[in-house]
Amino acid sequence: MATEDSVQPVAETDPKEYGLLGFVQGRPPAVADQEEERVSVYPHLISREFLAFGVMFMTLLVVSTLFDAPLEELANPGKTPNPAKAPWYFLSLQELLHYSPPFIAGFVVPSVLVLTVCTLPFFRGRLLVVPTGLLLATIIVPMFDGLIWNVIHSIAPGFADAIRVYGLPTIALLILTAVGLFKWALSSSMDDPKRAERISTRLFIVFVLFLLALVLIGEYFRGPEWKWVWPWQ
Amino acid sequence: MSTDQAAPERGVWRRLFQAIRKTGAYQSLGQAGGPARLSRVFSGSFCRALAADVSRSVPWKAVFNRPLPQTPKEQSEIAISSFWLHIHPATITRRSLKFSTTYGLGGLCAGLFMMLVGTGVLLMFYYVPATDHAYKDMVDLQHVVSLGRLLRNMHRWSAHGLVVFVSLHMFRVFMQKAFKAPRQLNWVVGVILLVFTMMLSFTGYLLPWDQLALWAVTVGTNMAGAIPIVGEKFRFVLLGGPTVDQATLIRFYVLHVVVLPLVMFIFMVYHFWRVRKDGFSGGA
Ligand code: HEM
Repeated sequence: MATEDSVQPVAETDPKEYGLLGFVQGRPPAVADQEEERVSVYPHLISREFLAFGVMFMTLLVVSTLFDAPLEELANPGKTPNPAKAPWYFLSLQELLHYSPPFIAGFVVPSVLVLTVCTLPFFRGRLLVVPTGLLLATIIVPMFDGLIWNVIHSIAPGFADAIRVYGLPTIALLILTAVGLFKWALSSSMDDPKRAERISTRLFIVFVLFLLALVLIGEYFRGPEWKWVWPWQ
Repeated sequence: MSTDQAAPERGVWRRLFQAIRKTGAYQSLGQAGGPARLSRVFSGSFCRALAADVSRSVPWKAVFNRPLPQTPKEQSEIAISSFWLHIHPATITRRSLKFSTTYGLGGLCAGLFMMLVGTGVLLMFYYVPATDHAYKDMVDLQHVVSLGRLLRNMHRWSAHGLVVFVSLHMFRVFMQKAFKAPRQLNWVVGVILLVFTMMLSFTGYLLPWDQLALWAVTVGTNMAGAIPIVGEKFRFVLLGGPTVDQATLIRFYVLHVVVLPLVMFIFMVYHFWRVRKDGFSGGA
């Protein structure tokens, strides 16, 4: 018993705070990864940082000499271009606006995306498939909003008009997806943690590819009235 | 030696050639089989020799005021005593140093941010955020101001680059699962940085006051109007009125050159500090 007491870490029994008093000769205190080879940040990392910054600067200089930033004619509030496009990094949302009401594409989708990405690291182990799966669903489900609405409309037109405004098909489907993902994550098929992590990684990659595809479609394949055009047309 | 004969008899050039031949970096290339072996340039020996040479130069000493550290004591001393270096740890594992650990992406984001501040301040000398002035200033930058076109291009391409590289950096952090405990909070800080990057890019988009600017911002802010209940109010406050005009331009300008960069800078410093406190996933 006495020996166990004596190996207690000092910090836990001693309320004092410590400051840096001076330097002593010798190796740095041993830590868990002491076995790994360590090198001095200066110059090893600093020189690489300078090199990387130099390469970046030169690349920028070359690119900026070869390609001019766009400048169109003076802004004219009376002349709406067709189509009027958002900056490229918002084009995925604008593309979704084509399939679902503004409430979904302009509010629900970006909010769910940002919140899910923020909370993603707090899902551990097998549960990681929940946020990654939800990310993917959040950009796929809105594409079917109009389709589902049409089905409902053919059955009950008055009811359909009401939910069209609020994008209820998308919201209902997203909630169902989240619940389904939780059940899936806790099911026995996810018992192998390696497999669960692999699946969540793939879901995330597919999500990124989808986002990229939406941006590219918005940038290169959308013409007047947001109709499909080929880039060479 | 033929190179010796080709060199001028005396003068600065000859002295320069001789000085270069004396540097460790040059000699390390020689050992590696000459400059043709490009792979050696990126290997440790060249970088180390180059760093040693640079650190012996007068300007370097003026800034860092110290020779290369040799002992652990000197390694910690230099990290603590130099303002430029103290955001770094004193030592780092070889694994962290490997290119494929970070692909240099986080550092490139920081570099692009610095480029944007530099070129942005220069642009501010010319640009007036008024609807009857802004576009003319852009045309002047393109055609009248010395290097104005280059300046504007560099600012523009750095901005697009930052959006791309912040996304790539996020992707690498995800793929390496570097967001796991204890780094969750820094991931969230990262998401905030991503959102700020986009907002900075978006507010900057309006400033040239051309057709592209006006309508991209009209489309973008219309989306903000879709927020339930407060949406229209929020849009009105953002635009300073019902449509994009002078009130919008000055609002976006102030957000773009003061508010957003300042807040983003604070979050960036916090991000770096957290990388150190949480411990870099490659071993800090
Ligand atoms: C302006 C934007 C950003 C800057 C300047 C920046 C800078 C950095 C730097 C310099 C590092 C050190 C390692 C490296 O270079 O990769 C780092 C690490 C990290 N960043 Fe960022 N970052 C930014 C945005 C983001 C974003 C968008 C995320 C994720 C959503 C993120 C999450 C992280 C995490 C979790 C680490 C720790 C990684 C590790 O320990 O391996 N950062 N960041």
